[in-house]
Amino acid sequence: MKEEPKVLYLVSEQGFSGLHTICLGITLRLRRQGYRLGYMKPLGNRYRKEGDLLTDDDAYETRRELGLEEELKDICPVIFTAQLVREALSEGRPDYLSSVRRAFSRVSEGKDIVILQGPLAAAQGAFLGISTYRLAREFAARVVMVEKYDDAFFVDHLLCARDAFGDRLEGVIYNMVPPVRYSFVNETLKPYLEETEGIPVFGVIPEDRPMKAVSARELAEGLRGEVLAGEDALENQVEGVLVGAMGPEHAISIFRKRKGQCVVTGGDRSDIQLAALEVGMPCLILSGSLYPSSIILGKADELKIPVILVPDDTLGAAEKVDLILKTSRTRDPRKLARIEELLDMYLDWERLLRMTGLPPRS
Amino acid sequence: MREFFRPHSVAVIGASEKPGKVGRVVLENILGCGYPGDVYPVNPHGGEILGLKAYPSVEELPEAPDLAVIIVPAAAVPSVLDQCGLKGIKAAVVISAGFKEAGREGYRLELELEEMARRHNMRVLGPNCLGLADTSTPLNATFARTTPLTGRLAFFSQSGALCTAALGWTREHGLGFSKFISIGNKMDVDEVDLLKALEDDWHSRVIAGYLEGIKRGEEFLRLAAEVTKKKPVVIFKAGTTQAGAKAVSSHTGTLAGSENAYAASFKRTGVIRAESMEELFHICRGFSQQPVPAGDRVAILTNAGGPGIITADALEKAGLKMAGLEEKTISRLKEHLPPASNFYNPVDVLGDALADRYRAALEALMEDANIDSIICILTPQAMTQPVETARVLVDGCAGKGKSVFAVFMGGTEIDEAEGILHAAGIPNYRFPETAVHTIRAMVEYRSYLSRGEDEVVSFEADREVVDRIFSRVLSEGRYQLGEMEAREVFLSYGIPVARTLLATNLTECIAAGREIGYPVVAKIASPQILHKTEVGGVKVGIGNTDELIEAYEEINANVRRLMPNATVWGVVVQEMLKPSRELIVGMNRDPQFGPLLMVGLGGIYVEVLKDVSFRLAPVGKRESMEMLKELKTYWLLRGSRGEKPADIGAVAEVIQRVSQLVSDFPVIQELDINPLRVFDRDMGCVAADARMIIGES
Repeated sequence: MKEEPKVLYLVSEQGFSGLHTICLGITLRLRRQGYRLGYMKPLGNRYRKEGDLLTDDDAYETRRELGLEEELKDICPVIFTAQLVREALSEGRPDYLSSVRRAFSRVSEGKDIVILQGPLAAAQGAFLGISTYRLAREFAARVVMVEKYDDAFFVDHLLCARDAFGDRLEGVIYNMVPPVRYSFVNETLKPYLEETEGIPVFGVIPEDRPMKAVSARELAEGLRGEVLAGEDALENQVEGVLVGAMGPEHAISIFRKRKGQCVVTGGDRSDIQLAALEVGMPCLILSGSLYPSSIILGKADELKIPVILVPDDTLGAAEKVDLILKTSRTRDPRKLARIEELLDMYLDWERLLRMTGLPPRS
Repeated sequence: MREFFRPHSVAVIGASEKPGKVGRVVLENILGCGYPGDVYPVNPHGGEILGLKAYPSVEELPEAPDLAVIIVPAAAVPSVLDQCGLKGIKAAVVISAGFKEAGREGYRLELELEEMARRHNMRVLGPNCLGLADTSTPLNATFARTTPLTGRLAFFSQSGALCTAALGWTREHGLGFSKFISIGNKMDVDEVDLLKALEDDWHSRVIAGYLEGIKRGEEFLRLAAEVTKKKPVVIFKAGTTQAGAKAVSSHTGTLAGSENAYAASFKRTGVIRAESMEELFHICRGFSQQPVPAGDRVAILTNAGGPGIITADALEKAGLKMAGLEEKTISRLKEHLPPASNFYNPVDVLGDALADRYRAALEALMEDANIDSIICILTPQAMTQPVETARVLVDGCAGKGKSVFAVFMGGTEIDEAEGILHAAGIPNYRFPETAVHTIRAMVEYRSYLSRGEDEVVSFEADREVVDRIFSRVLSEGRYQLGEMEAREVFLSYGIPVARTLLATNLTECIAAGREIGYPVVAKIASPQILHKTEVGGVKVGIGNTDELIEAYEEINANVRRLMPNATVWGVVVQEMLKPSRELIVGMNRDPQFGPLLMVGLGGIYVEVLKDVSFRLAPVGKRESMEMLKELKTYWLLRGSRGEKPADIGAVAEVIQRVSQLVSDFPVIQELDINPLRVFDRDMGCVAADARMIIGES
C-alpha cells in the first residue's frame, strides 16, 4: 500500500526570524539521511526574476541547493506581488488554493516527507485563501514554529499560534537567543512550555555572529558602491555597522569592542579611516562620494581591507548596510556548513523525527 | 649607519649637468662642502658631469661605494636599488619622491622598494627626503640651497620642507649642526635607528627631532631611555590636536597617536618636549652651547627694571627659583655698583651701565655658590655698550661651570653683539621668556638624570585563571568581558572587587540579593548604557527582597522608556559599600607605545573636571604615587578641612597591580575600574565597577 508522505510545516510569526535558514538546514540534513524529500514555499514573498519567470528567492535557492527536480512554479505556486494584489481584489479571481493543491500533489508524489516553508508571518495570504493556518489543515501538516527570541513577546506569538493551529502545532524552535537569555530559555521557559503548556521545544539555537554576517562584496553590490581598494579582500565578513563620527582617540576604543563590524565614515575623515585600518575592521565604507587620501588606499591594499565609496550621506549609508545585514539570506557555503553545525548542536533531531512520524535512519 | 655619515665614497645616481635639476644640486653640494672621499656620478649618458667622469650604470662603477644617493624617477628606484645591492653597496639615500605619499601606485612601489632593500640587506634613508649632511666629515648630500653651519646639534626631521626652512633660520641665527638628516617616508631608517646611531657620536651634544608619528613606539621608549642618560634628546611632536592628528593621518598614513601617550612616553624616557619649532631650536641652542645647570637657582643681571621683573615672573611660572645671593656677593656688588643699583636678585646695574659695571657684577655672581645659572639682560640705552658687554660676558663666564644665558634685547643695534655671543657659545635670546623656557628644559633634564630607578614590585598573581578566562572569551568570538569574568581577572591579581552578581531575570535577582546580603545596590547591565544613572538605571540602599523586586521593575521600566533599543543583559546586584571617595583607574593600550595607565577623579564630575594623569606601564611605587600627586584632587584625598585622609597607599597599589596585569597580558586592550571606591586611611579600596576589552592586536 502506498504511504502518504509526512508533511512538516515550518512557520514564523514575525519577519527575520531565520525561518529560511532553519528550513534549509533541516532539509539538507533530512536529505543527507536519505529520505525522499519534497520542498515547497506555497506563498512566495521574496520577489525574484529568473529570466522570464517570476519566482521567490528562497524557493529558487533551496531548489538549487538541494538539486530538486520539481519545477519552480510548483515549488512556489503563488508569488506575492502588486500585480497579484490587483488581480486578487478584482472580479473573477483565480482559485489560488486549487493552484497550491495541484502543485502540492506534484511535489509530494513519491516522497517520504514534504517540508513546507511559511511566508513572513502565518497570517500572510489569508486574503488569497491560502493562509498558513488554512494550508496546514488542507495538507494535514505538522506545524513547528521558528521563533526569534524576543524579551517582549517571548511566548505570546507561540501561544496565539497554538490557538490558531490547534493540535497541528507540534512545537517550537527558539532561534537567535542572546547569550544572556540562553539559560533563561533553557531552564525556565522550556520546562514551562513543555510541562504547563504542553508545547515541545525542539531546539534553542543561540545567536551566532558568523551567521549574521555578510561579505564586503555583498555590501558593495547592495550599496551600489565603488570599490576603491582591497579588491582581493571582498570576502571579508561584516557582522554589523558602525558610524565613524567620533574623535580618533575614541574611535580605536570603540572599534576594538566591535571588531567584526564595517565602519561608515566620510571620505575626508582620514583619522577615523586609519584607526579602522589599524584595528583591522573588515571593511571601510566612505560616504558622500568624497575620495579619500591616496595613502589610505595604499594602506588598505596592504592590510587587505576593502574600501567602498558610496554617494549616500553617512547615516543613509549606515541604514542601508543595516538593512542588508538584517535581510541577508544564507547563501554562502560557509554559512550553510555553519547552520548544519548549529542544528547538530542545538536541535533535538531524534525528537523532531519521531514527531514527524518518519521511520528512523542512521 | 657609518656608511651614511662617514662614507669613503659616494655614488650620485641620477646626477645631472642641467642647472636646476636636483641631481645637479646634490652633486654640487657634495663637491662644494669639501667632501674628502671619491664621488661617482651615475648617468645613463655617461660623459662628464661637473668635471667628474660619469658612469652609465651602477654596474660599471670602479668599486662598490659606501653610499648611494638616488635621484631617479620613482618607478626606476627599485631596479636602481637592486643594481646597488648587486654591486655590494650597503647604504642608500633615496631622495626621489612618488612613493607612499603619492597614491596607491606609489604605495605599492614603496612596498616593492622595501622588499628590495630587505633582499640585499641594505639600509635606506627616505624615500621622499631632502637627504643628509654631516658637518664633521664633511658631507652635504642634500638638495638644499643652504649649507648647515658646523655645531654640536644633531637634527632629524620627518618633514623635508621644514628642513630647508630650518637650515635658513639656523644659519641666520648662528646655530650649527653636527648632523642634519631628513628621514622622509621612514621606509627603513627611522627615528629609532637614528637615536641608536647618534647615541655615541661625540660630535653631537644634543639630539633634536621633528616628528609627526613614531613607527616603533616600544623600541623608541627603550632606546630613548638609554640615550637620554648620555645626552639630551629634544623632540617637537606635531599633530597633537584633533585637527593636527587628522592632517598627519592623511599626510603620512600613520596615526598621530594619542597626545596623552606621547606626553607619558616623553616623561618616562626623559625626552624633552618642545612646544614649537622655534622653542626646539632655542632649547637645543642652550644644550649645545651651555653646560646643564646644576640646579634650579637662577640669578638675573640686568640694566633695566622691567625686563628683570618679567624674567622673575617667568622663572616662578616655570617652577624655577630666584637664587638668594650670598652675603659676600652682595657686599662685592655694593663695592662696585652705584648706590641706586639693586644688589639683590634681580641685580640691576642701572640704565647708564657700561660694560665695566656688567664685568664687576658678573664676576661677583660667578663666584656665588647659591647660583646655578645666570641670565644676563641688556636693553640698549643711548650709552649702553652691547658689543663690549658681549665681550665681557664671553671672557667672564668661560670655564666657571655655571650656565650663562644672554638676553640682549632689541633690533639691529644688538646684531653684532649677538654674533660675538653665538660665536663664543653663549646663547642669546631676544626675549627673557625664551631664555627661561630653555633653562627650565635643561633643569628638568638634570632632575630626570638625578632621579633613581623606580622600584617595580612583583605581586603574586594567578596567571592561569586569567589565561583560561581570556581563551574562553576569545574562543566565543567576544572582545568584551562580562561583569563576572572581569571580576575574576581582577581578583586573580589581588585587586579588590565588590561582591557582584549578574541577574538575567527576576528569579536570579532575588537569589543574588539573598546571596550577597542586604543592603545591596542594583544597576542595569547593558553594553550600550555607559551612563547608568542618567537613564534611571541605578538603585542604592536596597534593604530587603521586596525593595529589590521593586528596584528590578523600576530599573527595567526606566531603561525601556529612555533607551528602548538598548540590549539589556539584566540587572547587576552588588554589595552596598561604605561611604567613600571615588577614583577611576584605567588602561588604554596605545597603538604606538603600549599600555597607557590612567588615574583620575571619579564620580559624576569626571567628564567636566577631566582631572586625570597618565603613565606608561610598568610603573613602580614612585611613578604610581607621582600619578596621584599630579591630580588636582590629590589634596582632597589627603583630607581637607577636618576630613580624614583617604587610603592613598591602597590606590597606588591598585595602580601597580593593574600595571602588572596589563604588562603580563598584552591581549588586554582596555580596562576601566570606575569607580574605585577609596575608604579612609588603612581601610583600603574596592573596585565597584570594572570593564575590560581584550583582543589580538
